[in-house]
Amino acid sequence: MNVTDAVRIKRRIRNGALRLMTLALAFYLAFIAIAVLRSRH
Amino acid sequence: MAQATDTLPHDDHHDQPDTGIKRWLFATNHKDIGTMYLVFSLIMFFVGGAMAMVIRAELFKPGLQLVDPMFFNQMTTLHALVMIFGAVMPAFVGLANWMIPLQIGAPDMALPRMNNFSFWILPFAFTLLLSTLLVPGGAPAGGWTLYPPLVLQGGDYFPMVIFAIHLMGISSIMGAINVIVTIMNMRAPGMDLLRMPLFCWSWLITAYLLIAVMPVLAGAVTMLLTDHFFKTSFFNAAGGGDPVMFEHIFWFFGHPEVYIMILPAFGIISEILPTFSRKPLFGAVSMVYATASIAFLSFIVWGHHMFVDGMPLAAQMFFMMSTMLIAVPTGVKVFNWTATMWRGSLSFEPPMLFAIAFLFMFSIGGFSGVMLALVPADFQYQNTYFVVAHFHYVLVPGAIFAIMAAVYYWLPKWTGHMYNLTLAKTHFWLSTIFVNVLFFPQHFLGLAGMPRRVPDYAVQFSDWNMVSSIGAFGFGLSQVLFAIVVIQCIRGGQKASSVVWGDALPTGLEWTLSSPPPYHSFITAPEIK
Repeated sequence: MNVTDAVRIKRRIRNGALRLMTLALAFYLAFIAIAVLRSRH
Repeated sequence: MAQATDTLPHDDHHDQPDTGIKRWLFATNHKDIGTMYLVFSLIMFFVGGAMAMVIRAELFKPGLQLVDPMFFNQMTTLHALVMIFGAVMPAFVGLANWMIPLQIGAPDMALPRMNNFSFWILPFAFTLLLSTLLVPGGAPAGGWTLYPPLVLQGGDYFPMVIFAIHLMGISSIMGAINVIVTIMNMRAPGMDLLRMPLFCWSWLITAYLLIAVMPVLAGAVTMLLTDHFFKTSFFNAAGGGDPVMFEHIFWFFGHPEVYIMILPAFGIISEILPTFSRKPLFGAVSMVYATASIAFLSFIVWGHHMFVDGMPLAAQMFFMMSTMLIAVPTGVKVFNWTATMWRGSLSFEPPMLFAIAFLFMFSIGGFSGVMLALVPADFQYQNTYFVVAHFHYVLVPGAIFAIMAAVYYWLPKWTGHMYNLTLAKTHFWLSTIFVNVLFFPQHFLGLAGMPRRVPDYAVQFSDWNMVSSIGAFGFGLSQVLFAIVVIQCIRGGQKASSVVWGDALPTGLEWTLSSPPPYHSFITAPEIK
């Protein structure tokens, strides 16, 4: 493996992790949003 | 400007483990972290098991003899939380940490520091959870499902439990992210996704389930927290909220959670059965599709946990049918496992014994699951010991037997020593006999109408409860043998070869490495042909 490959894979790992964290946060907020909309305050 | 070189110079250090406590505290090596997960899980298995012993001791005969009802309820609640989040899930994460890099030909997990963080959160989370036993009012006692409004009436334990659950969720999400990015980016050249071992496949799918549903649980318990402390009314009917909405949100998490605890087990069984049948896995690609189908269906069946809550007939029909549909991909799996063994040259080492026992007894749990999926039948079975029997068959001789099969399969690879096979087989037979003595009579109790989560019961339930408790004590004691086998094997023993299982010739990259494998597994990626 050369350095270019290593840098590319490192970037893919970081981007993948960030995307998955965003996905998790979106699920968290989405379900709270559903609950807010369904409660008749 | 790109520079071409064969090795990365900054990777030259860290080729030996640190010594003493630093090795574990600052661990970034996938094997060390995997070991810590597995040890933590074993400790929690005994903690949760001790709670189960209290429960079964109290239920040994009718009447209240050992503990007061409030403490009994605390035991049932903590037993579930400890076993689910402390024993089963960390055991699978430990196995993933150990085996995924070895099976895909990677040097380590993709995010080693995050791996360290996701493990070390857990001891804090469980210290917090278990310390609720010491606060005024005691530990949570409303069941692991934390249903409002009951849970909102809780005492000092409440914020501690909510925080502990958040911590467990963060740990699981970080673990899942690590698994996905490792599998997606660090497979050896030539290892297409469909050529990847089934254990890695099942974990990849499980990791996506975790990322989708752990935040949902976090959302649900955050709303409980704001209802309790900040006067919101998400689940408070008096303020315009809806307690049943909590159940919908909880079970949207809760049902996929069940599959989080069983899909990696399916992967393990798919590794072990071909080895000891000396045949390739029958229908390997259909196994992947079946796993993915089960994962998809797990998102649309949550309503079967709440049939008696009151829901439209159409919703009941939908949830009943979607639940029964899960039997199709699960049936594909059971068929493939059976076909793998068919006319194979079988041998019955401890991992194979546990895998075959899994096949039979998980199927018993599956059959009672189909019974519970039927709306009119569920109206009778719900909240009885039949449900307890069902999910314990799926989780104990299902998930936990698969974990034990995996440990017995890979332990010689991890330690470099073969364990005491006679002791391991004794452990298997005692566990298998006692687990059936423990849980099978609970079907009869449930069908006869004994409710779950009660410290006392009517006298007609006495006999089977006594039998069940004897099974529980026997099963609990048998697990001491497991700890002895593992500890003996870590301390020494007959040297294991790299293939470990001799003429069984297991396939997979992990068997190309020495036993134990080098500290960094694959410094140069192996070529897959």
